[in-house]
This record gives sequence, structure tokens and C-alpha cells, in this order.
Amino acid sequence: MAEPTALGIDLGTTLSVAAQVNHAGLPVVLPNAEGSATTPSVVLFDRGSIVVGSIARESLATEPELVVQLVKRNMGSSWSFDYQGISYGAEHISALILRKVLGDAQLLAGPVSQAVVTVPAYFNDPMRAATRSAAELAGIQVLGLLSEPTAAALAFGYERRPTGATGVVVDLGGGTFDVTVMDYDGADLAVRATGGDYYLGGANFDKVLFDFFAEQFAAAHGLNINDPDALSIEECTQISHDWLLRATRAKHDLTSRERTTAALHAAGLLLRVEVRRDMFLARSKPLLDEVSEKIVDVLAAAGVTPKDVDFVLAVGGSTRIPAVRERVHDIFGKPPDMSVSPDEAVALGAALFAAQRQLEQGSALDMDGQARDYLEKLTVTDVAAHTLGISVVDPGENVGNRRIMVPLLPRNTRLPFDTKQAFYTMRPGEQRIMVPILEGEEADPQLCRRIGEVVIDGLPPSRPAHQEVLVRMRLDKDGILRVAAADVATGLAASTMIVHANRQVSPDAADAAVRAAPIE
Amino acid sequence: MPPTRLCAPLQSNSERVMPPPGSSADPADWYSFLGIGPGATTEQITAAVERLSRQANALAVTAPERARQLRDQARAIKQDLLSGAESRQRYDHGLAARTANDADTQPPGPVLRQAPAGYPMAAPAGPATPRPTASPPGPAIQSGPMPYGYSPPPVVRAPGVQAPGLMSRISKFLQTGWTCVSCGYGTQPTDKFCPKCGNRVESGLGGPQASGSAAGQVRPDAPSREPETLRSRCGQCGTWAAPGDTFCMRCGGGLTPGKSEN
Repeated sequence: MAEPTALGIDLGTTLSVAAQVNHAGLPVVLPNAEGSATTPSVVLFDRGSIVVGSIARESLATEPELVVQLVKRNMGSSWSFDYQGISYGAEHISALILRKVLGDAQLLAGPVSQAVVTVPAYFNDPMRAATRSAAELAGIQVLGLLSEPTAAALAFGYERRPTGATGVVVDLGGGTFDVTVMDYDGADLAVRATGGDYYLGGANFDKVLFDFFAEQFAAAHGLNINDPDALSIEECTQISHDWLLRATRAKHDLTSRERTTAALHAAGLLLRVEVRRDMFLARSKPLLDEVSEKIVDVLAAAGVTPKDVDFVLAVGGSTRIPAVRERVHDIFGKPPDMSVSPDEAVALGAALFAAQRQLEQGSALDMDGQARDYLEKLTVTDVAAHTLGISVVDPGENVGNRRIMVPLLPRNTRLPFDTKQAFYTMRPGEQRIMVPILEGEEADPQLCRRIGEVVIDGLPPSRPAHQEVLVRMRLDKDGILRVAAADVATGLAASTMIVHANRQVSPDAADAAVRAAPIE
Repeated sequence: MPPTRLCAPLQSNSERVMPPPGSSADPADWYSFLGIGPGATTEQITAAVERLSRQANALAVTAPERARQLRDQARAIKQDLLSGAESRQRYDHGLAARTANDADTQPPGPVLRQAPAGYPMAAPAGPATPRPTASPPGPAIQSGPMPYGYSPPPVVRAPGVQAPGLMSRISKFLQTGWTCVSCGYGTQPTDKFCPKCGNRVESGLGGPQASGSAAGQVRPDAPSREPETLRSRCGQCGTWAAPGDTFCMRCGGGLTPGKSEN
């Protein structure tokens, strides 16, 4: 009996989308219960129930302190949202969003629980781990995490089937920015280099307009809405979110119009502000410069020039901003291809990848023969988004015991990758060797993220100094990192496996609340 | 009403993070600051503090400095009112004394208080923290822990005690990266046989078991020396091999017996 095709879920900063490959072999978006292709990644805590989506987003203007948005920016951090005695982390909020997306998808797709969930290519290990935890909390059987630009490239490649081509995916979403250079060769997709910024997206452009509103209001009425003397916290919060929604609306208007108007209310005062596209462009210049810089950096890392690029794929809602498209055009000398819907491309690609994973695992899928052939042949080769290495003592002269990060697996290394390197102990009589595993681009270990460690214990007390320790690091295509260290003299060894699925914190009240809460 | 054309010079949108003394938002009295009575229950205070931290979250994008101030205040209130009966009693006594003092001496001035050890010292946080009496607001206060600072969750499986079977698999990983030598399929460390072709992937290699405590350090290119025990080394590239290895893990060449230094 044929199994249901797994879902592809784009867990976005501002919008989330679910897609599935249908019987004809085409990836299609599954509309939510409200009939919309996209579900705002916004959560409203409404006393006994949880509301996710557009209603929650609308509540930002009336009950802002009960609404959570842009939570993806806090993934992997200590951020929390406290409600009714329960402290919800970013993965809990994301799990609520995923529960809504999964539940709505199941209305159309049936009882399917397997899915591929996408993450920004530039997400680091804790962020990916939190995303996986969120999906598992939501009851999703995770077939894998897939980088968002890779997913978009997959959707594009499935439709166009380019061969011997080099493409660039520019993914400027609601909160994150990724650039990826890819090689297409039939059913083989290989990432050459990737880079980005997980704090650059549409929300930054909204803030530009919000700041403009605040300036104009202060100039016209002498009221600074952030002044604690002028407005209470409640008023400030409510007005801020009302204006932020108006800023988002104005930004959308300016994608097709040269000017728009926003009506701003605060403390019984009214101001109608004209917003012009040229003003928005001028104020957004620092953000646009960041976009350009990242694109150029990634092209350099991939070893390609703009002339080598056959097409540029623009995905993410913020690539609709005309100034972003113009920047891309200026860099590559050609307009970005927007033939795949910027809001849906990532989910569509994730759905294809999910089906490919199922076929790889031997699942019997009821699917068109040609599509099955393509997906069975499909290979996706990704790269490490961040450098991985270990912390050791600097061998330089006159540096004391200063530690340095020694990269073993440089960023943009094609996966899977396997490497080993010899290191040496410093002092005689060491019975325990600890190898901290780091992720990051800095030489100073303090500026890198510590993602694990390997400890060799039980070494004999009489060991002299300068003993060889062999460290082996392997990162597979699913992002599973294995690190092993062995003391060569004694043969003693230790290893660790860092899998994004391994959630080390014990289940807490928030976990239970996330699983039990009714979602609207 | 036509759209307003604004010609006035733009005013800086600087944010004030400290309410002046005596203002409605004066945090000298946490109870009035939270909008609850001095006799509020712990549950009522908890709910009010939760609301405060949610408001901080809500302002994180549009007014980050004010959001930071609110978070600092929420932390200070938790310290004063929610960290035990004794702590709250101490705070209530101090508040009562200050109130009585304020009634006796007009106009009221800032009251100094010895901050207890470990007290969160973000400037606006304490009810009686000294604060500037001049009215222009100061710059944003940056002290205190970063509310959004990363503290990566522990995602690493702790290295367990090495059972002989696991030891052999670790050795296997060091040789082959847990890849099946027959078909190249990536296997798991717990696999004894390749899930793809059925080839045995667990080797019979092991190592001594012991325990230790002194933390060691490794350095990348200290002078190399040969291991003490009798070892094999590769005839092609000279790499020392683990006991029991037949082929070099670096180049795949056949191994020749080494010599003992001892």
C-alpha cells in the first residue's frame, strides 16, 4: 500500500508554508485552514488557547504583550516568553507554529507526520538543534533539515532541469538572509558556497519605516512615543505595534507604488505621513549595502564571478522590494528570476526533498513514473555553513597558555567531509585529555560557539609530555558531526556524536503545554 | 484631511530609559510600578512580572533600550519580591521606612540602599538605587547580562564509559569514519553490520580501560615523537597505526611492524 508523501515545511521568520508532492509528481502548496498558502509565524496566547496565524498577527495592534513574532531570530538562544507560570523558549513557540502548519496540512494530506523542515543556510548548530527540537515537539517525524536556499534551488531545478549551469539563490526572507552559489547538472545539485546573516530581513526594512514614523511624529507633535513620561508601557507597546503593522503595509505598498500614506495615532493625536519610495531607498541603504556585501563575499568564496553565473533566483518575500532586485541586477548584470513564487519556493523544494528521502528509504509512494525517476536520481550536496574545529593551546612563542581555534573543517567545505589531524599533549603526567569542539570563524575560542567536547580519560600517570593525540572529525550530509580523539601511545580513545536531534534538556512544563495546548 | 507635509527639522528619536523621580513610572515602589497592592500574593506578583517581561519582548524590535530596561526591572523585582519570604520582607520593611521618611521630609530625595551581593545592578532596577536628579535623561544603560545573549543548549551526547565493544567501534571510526569498507555506506557507531550490504563493520579492536581526573591540554605542532609501545607503521607514508591495523588509515598501504622505544 502506498504511503502518504511526506511534507516540506518552510518554518519562516514571518510566514510558514507546507507543501507536498502530489500523485502527478508535482510539488504543491497545501493551503492552511483559512485557505491561505502562507501562515504568519505569529502566536497569540489567548487565555486557555493558542492562536497561530493571521488572527494572531492582527492581535499585535490590540494585545501586543500576548503575541510572539519573529521568534526564529531567537532560536538557539536563552530568549523566553513567560505566560501563566510557564517559560516558553523559542523552540516551544516554533513548535506551536509547526503544530498549526502540520494540523492544517493534515486536513488535506491525511495523517502524514513525516516532514523535511527548512532552516536558513547560515543557521549555526544550536539554531539547527532548536529547530529540530521544535519539529519533534510538534509531533513531526523529521526526515531532515534542509537549507532554505538549497530547497528553493531544488524547486527551480525540478521545474527547469538546467544542466551544466551555475546559479545563485538570493534568499531575503522576513528575518534572515542567505546567499548560495549552486552548480546544476541534471539531477545533481551541489552547493559551492553559502553565507548570510540571520539578523537581516524584511523586519529590518519595517524598522526603517517605523523609525521614520517616530521621527515625523516627534517633529510634528513633539511626542516621542518611547518616552516613559509621555506614554505608559501599555500605550507605548500598543502604539509601537500598530505603527509597525502600518510600516509593513507601507513597505508592501512601495513595491508597486512610488508613494503611499500612513495614518499614525498616538495619545489622541493624528498624523498622516507621506512615505516615498526614494526616501525608503535612501534610508535602507545600509541594509542594501549589507545585502550586496554578502552576495559579493559568497561569490568570492565560491570562486565565481558574476559573469560565470547563469541565473539568479530571488526567493523570500523581501526580494519583492524593488531596491533589492535592483541591487541584484546591478551585481549580476541580469534581473533575478522570480518565476518560482518567492514565498513558496522553499516549501516546494522541501517537499521534493522529503519525497526523495522517502524513496531513498524504500517507501512505496504513489507517484508519476517520470517524477519518481528524477527524484530517485536526485542528489543534493551541501556545504558546511560554518567552520568547525577544536580549541588547543597556541604553539607560538611567548604566548603563555593562550588558546586558539584550529579549524579542521573549514566553512563551505563540501559534505560529507572527513579529516584528521595530530596534536600533542603539553605536560607530563596528564591523565585526562579534553578536546573542546568549536564552531565559528574566529581564531579566539571565546568568540566561537562551543558545541561539544571529547574527553579521553584514564591515561596512565607516568606519561611523558608531547604525546600524540589524533583527532578525527567527520560531518555527514545530514549535518551529523562525529568527532573522535585517540591517544596514539595507549590506544585509548573517546568520541562524541553531535546530532541536531539530541535535545539534552529534560522535558519541562513548556514541552507539556506545547503538546497539550489547543491550537486555533 | 490631506497628507501632512512636514518641514520641521527632524528630532532625534533617542530613548529615555529612566523615569525621573516621582513620575508615574517611578520604580521606587515595585507594587505601584506593577499596578498591584502591597498585600499582593506571590501569584499576583508573578503574573504582573510575567506581563512586564512580555511587554519587554513586545518592545524588543521598536524600542530595544526600553525593552532592556524593562527586563532589568523584571529581574530586580523577582529578586526583591519573588526570591523568598525573607527577601520580600526585607524589601517591604525598606519600602515602609522610605515611605515614612518621604512623609517626614519634603521634597523627597533619592534614598540609598546597600545592594545585596548578587543584586542585578542595572541602574534603573533597584527601588532605591541612586539615580541622577538632573532631569535630562542619560544614555541607554548597558549593564547587566545581555537578555538575548547566546547560551547554546547542550547538544552533545556526553562521552560515556567506554565498553569494550564501543572501544572497538571508536577505533573503527578512527580508521574508517564508520563507513562500511565493503560498500562505503555511512554506518552508525552502534551498528555491528552495515545496514546496506550486511558486511560486518564492528572490528575486534579494543583498548585499556581506566579513569583519571587531571585535565590535559593538547597543542597542535609540538615536537613529534614515536609512541612508546610496539606499533605498526605504514611502509608507504610512515604513519603510525593503531594496534591490530592491517592497512594504513591515511593512505591504505600495507603496514610493517614498528619498533619499541622502551
